[in-house]
Amino acid sequence: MAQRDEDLIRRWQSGEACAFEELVRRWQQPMGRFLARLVGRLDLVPDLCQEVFLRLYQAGPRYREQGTFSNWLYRIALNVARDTGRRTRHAPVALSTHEVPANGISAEARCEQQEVAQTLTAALAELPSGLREVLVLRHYEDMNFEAMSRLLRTPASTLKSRFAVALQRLRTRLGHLDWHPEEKS
Amino acid sequence: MNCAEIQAALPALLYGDLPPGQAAALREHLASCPACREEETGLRQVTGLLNTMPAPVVQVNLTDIYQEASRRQLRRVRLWRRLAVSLSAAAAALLLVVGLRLELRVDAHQVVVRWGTSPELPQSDPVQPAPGLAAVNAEHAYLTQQLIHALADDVAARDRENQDSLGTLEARLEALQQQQQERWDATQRLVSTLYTLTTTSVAKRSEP
Repeated sequence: MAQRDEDLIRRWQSGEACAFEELVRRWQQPMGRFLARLVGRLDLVPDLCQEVFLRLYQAGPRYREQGTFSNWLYRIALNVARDTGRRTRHAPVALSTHEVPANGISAEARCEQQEVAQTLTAALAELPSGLREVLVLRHYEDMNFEAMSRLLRTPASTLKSRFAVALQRLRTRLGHLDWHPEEKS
Repeated sequence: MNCAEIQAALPALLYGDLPPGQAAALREHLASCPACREEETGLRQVTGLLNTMPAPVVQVNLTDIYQEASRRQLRRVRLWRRLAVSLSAAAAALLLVVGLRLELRVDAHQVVVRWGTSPELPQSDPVQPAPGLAAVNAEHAYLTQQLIHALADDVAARDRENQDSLGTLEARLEALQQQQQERWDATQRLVSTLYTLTTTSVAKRSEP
């Protein structure tokens, strides 16, 4: 049976290096996906992921079991993403390098999917960070507003309205795409 | 509920955040209101689009994490040392000024640096030293000395802590490098075995 994250971190705090390695193995893909959606730049994701786990490594001895481990890790990742956002605010936005897997579809359909992915990435990147964070946490991480409220230290009601605004803005921005995923897949 | 309220609640309905009663009322309204239905379709399309966003595959490098942590730790130690040296120098300068009763004065044509007690001028009236001045100076000197000792103790304690954690990090790094070396050796052995097997089978096949 898989150990709880909190047990692993306790073992790591008591000196078992392999417990930290297990936590990294367990969380590296979810963190990679989370950061990619939050930052919108695939080229930055490996470095950001590395930074998240480095900060986790440095902060590990200070972890106290007050909330869940995942909440704590998400907070570290959010801080890393915010720092990156501040640093790259004035940098030119790179074109998305999202590669859509072939999956036996035609070149034309693949090209269209690629374009949709790029437009979507750009639309997400254009959202103010406050709206983007809520959208990514609710839609992709399936986090409820109460947990999000503890993580972002913002009232749940504010987060709910931010989420509605974010969806509405995306709807306006992506309305022209006329994309029906259920028909394409 | 009017249409504006219904449309504001649509995201919560789509993500299952509404209580069952409220959700049923919303669905009932949607069945009879084309404008709200269109809004709901638009939002569903957005959520469908969000699901198409591809995700990367990442591989965190643990060796790099241990090395970078060690580097940052060293940088912090150096910073603390520099700060402690600066503070000690400032405290020593303060002690010098207070202990020697240093006096620096810039006149019209000269700069006067004087320490110790002021020479008494024969013509002037004898100036009585302020009562308790010597005691105050001695107290300042004592306090500064205590401050320097406290700073030195703090630096030594931090040094010890940092050395300990550096030692742990180095041990971990060494273990990791050993593991990697063992894996590399095993891979090499495997490759060599595979090579031998391939060569043998090719040789057997080429035999008449």
